[in-house]
Amino acid sequence: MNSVEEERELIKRAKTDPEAFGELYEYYVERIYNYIYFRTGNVHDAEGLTGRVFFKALEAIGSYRDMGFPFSAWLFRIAHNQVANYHRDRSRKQEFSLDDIAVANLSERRKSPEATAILQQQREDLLKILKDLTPIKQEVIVLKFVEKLSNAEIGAVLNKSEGAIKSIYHRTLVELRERLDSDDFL
Amino acid sequence: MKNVDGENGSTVVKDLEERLGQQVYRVSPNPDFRSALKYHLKSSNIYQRRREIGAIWVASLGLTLFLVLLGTLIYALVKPRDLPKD
Repeated sequence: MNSVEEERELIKRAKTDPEAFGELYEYYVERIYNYIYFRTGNVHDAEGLTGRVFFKALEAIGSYRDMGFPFSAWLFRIAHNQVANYHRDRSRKQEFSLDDIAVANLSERRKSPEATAILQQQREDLLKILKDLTPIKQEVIVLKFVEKLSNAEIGAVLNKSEGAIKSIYHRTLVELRERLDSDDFL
Repeated sequence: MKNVDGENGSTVVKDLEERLGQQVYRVSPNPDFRSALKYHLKSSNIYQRRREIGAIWVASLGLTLFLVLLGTLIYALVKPRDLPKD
C-alpha cells in the first residue's frame, strides 16, 4: 500500500471482499500486535487480544467512515478499548515479559557479546521503568516509539487533543529522566 | 543516566528520545499465529451474513415498492368509480 488513495480503495473493497481485508490485516497486524504486547506484557494475551481486535474490525468495517484520521487510528482505537477491557476485567498489573521482549535487532547482533549484554541490560532497565508509568503514559510511549504515530494520531486513538498528548508526553519524559537519574541507569 | 550538569534540558530530552527510539522497538508475532489468524478472518462467515442481510434488505425494499405501486394502481382504478355522479 503506497498511498492514502490506495488504502481508501482497499478499505472500500474490504467491506465486501475477504481478500482485501486480508491485505489490510497483513499491513497492520504487526503494529497492532506490538501495541497490545507492550500493554499486556505477555505473548499469550497479546495474541488473543490481537485476534479479538481484528474480528471486531471485520464486524465494524462495513460501517467504517473516513473521519479525516488514518485507518490505523481507527484500528488502534479498537485495540485501546480491548486492552482497557482486559485490564478492567482482570484487574491485573501490567507486566513486561523481558525474556520475550529480548529479541535482539540486527545492529545489536553485529556487536560483541559484551556490548550486546550491556545494551540488553540497559534495555531491560528502561523497560522496567516504563512498566511503572501510568497506563496512559505507557500508551503514549508505545504509540510514539513503537508505532511511530504523531501526537495528533495518538490523540485520535486515546480520544484526547493533540495538545493534551504533547503535555502527557512531556511529563512522561520528565518522569523518565528523573527515574533514570535517580537509579543511575546510564 | 549520568549527571547531566552543564547540559541544557533539551539536549537531555533529545538523548532520552534517542534512547527510547533505539531500545523500545517492535517485536515480531509468531508466524504460525499470524497466518492462522488471517485464515480464520478470511474464512469468517461475517461476509456471508452481510451478503444475506443485504439480500434481505433489497428484497424488503423491492416488496415495499411493489406493494406501494400495487396500492396506487388499485386506488387509481377504484377511485373514479366511487365518485358521486351528478
